Amino acid sequence: MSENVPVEETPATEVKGGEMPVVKNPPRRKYFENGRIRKPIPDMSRPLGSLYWPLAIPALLCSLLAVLVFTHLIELGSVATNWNLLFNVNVATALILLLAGALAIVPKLLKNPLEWRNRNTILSFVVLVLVALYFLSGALPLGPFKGLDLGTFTYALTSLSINLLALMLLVIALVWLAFNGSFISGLFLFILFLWWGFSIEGFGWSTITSIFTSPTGGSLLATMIPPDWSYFSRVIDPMLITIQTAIVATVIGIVGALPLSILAARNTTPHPIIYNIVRLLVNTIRSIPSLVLALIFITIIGLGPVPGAFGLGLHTISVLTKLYSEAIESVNTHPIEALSAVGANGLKRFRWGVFPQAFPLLVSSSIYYWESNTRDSTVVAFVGGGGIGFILNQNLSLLEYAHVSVILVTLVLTVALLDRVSDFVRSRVI
Amino acid sequence: MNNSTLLEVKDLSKVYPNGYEALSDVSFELQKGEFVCIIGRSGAGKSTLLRCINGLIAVSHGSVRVQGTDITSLTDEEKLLLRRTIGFIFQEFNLVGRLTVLQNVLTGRLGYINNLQAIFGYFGREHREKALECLARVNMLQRATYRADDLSGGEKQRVAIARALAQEPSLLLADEPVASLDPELSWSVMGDLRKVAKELGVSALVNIHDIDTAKHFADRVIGIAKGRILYDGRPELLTDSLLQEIYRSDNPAAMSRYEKTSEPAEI
Repeated sequence: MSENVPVEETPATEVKGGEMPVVKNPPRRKYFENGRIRKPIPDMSRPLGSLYWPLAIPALLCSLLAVLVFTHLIELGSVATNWNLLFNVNVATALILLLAGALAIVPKLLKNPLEWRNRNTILSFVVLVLVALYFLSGALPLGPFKGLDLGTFTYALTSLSINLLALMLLVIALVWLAFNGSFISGLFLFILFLWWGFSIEGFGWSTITSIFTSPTGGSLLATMIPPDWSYFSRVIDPMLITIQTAIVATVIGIVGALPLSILAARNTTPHPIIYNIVRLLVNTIRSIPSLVLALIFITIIGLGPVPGAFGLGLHTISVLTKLYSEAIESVNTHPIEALSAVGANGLKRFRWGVFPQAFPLLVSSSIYYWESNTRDSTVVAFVGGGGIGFILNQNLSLLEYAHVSVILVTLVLTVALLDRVSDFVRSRVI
Repeated sequence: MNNSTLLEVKDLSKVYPNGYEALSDVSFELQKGEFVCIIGRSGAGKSTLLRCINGLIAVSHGSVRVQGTDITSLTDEEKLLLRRTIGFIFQEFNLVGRLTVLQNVLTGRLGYINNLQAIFGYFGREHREKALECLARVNMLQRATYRADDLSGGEKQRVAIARALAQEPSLLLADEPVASLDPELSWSVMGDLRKVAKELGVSALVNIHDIDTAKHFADRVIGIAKGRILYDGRPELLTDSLLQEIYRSDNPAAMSRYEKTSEPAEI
């Protein structure tokens, strides 16, 4: 919020040592200026601040209307439309890329004409045009080269609910009021957001009470205790396979993440374009859930713990790259400057300046992710086989809950043991 | 320029892109074996001057000749080779905290080993012996296996001096080496620095902001104010009016410390 609140006349204040300043002529404020609502002057002597009516009244009105519309107490009906949205994804992507690139590069160039000759600018420009051309070539044949065809986007809107439209307009009005300083609008938007979240299908008091009163729940818990300890001998091997999967996945992750993280850290990357490309790639892979990656590998290679390990490994590479690069970026630059003064080149500065400082964080991230991988490989084994998740799935399907409790106890003990081991290793290394 | 001139700075200027003139037309010479102190206020350009001599900051105009080689005309790789012969001591010590004292001093030898040896941390016998000898020279051998951030301020600065000496330099640059130390300790460290420089025949250029320390230890004093040299000569010939000029603040009404003798301050 900007601090400049111009008033028409400056109030004459007098402070008598220790008293509150008395404003002799309270300024007549202008409520509207340049088409925007003026931000309120905070009145700090009142406990909750004073109510600023130009913002409060519209906010309350909009909130009331929004509640009525959201809960369908006012029913405005719907209009039958026959709108079809159709566009070629290739062309759209190319246009968006060019637009985004232009928005990023052109204002800088207009401000500083010398930038035209900068190597980075020309390189970014060329890369942008090439990528846009690649996407375009998917739609229109540009010469012999044909890029990836991304198809056509279609969306058919058959009926438009006026309630929804009214709600969106009211929300936009509330957001504008909130940005102008209305606390009521902000609070109401937050409440509306939570309300919408909780209006999920089937959520209600009855579902909460059914946790405690459901007939299936009670009998399930009854059969889980006492656990069938004779099953324990069948649990050990799958547990070991799960741990092995986790080790393989983590090592793949570390080996892949180390070079990538050097490229993805702002202070060690050879060029900003490489930095952006690596970051983009890693973020894309990271947004795919690890289970989905494991499933993809299972489809390619087959069942068993190994494809699960590969899938988890790929996910681990992406997460560890982000963690490692943040560790590398957080390093103190002064010792690096000292090494530069000694005459060390980039590689030596990294090995003796950056790496020793980042090492504790690298180790703790890796060990944390090894624990996380152990738990994830349980879930992966659920769908892929060869691990404790597999027998867990079996026993759940066969309703053998006494065995399930043995498996769960083993899992909890293993994770606790791993926790102790990792704490110990970390304390020795840092 | 005769053979005993180690460093020749001529018309050095540094102007930052926002127009701030950190150094204007600085010229001086440094002979072999001299111990020179640069005095001036904070922000006068002392750190900038040292870093320009070292090549850590690019020079806008002028030349810096170290043993005949103009550092402004070198490529980055050649600058690294030249920096091996120039030792730099920082105000905040700039040691690598997690490494031991011995490893920190060994990093001073990084300019003399190749990339592969640096990656595996293989420093040959002569490098290790040189590092131990430098540690002994600053009396820090008993702390050789301690982690660098377990030391006190004075010990860290001694290790930094050992690291600079391990480079076998011909020139030592020290950017306010004793500013973070208490007065007794700062004289002790300055004494060590001067003793070592004279023993090894290494010239030294030291930034000091305390005039008494500079007068006591220096063969020659250079006074800098607002990026210009105001005085270059023996410390005895430094008059009070010159000192007032060097340490004059931007506020003309403020009383300079060097105007009055030691009287208690006004309320």
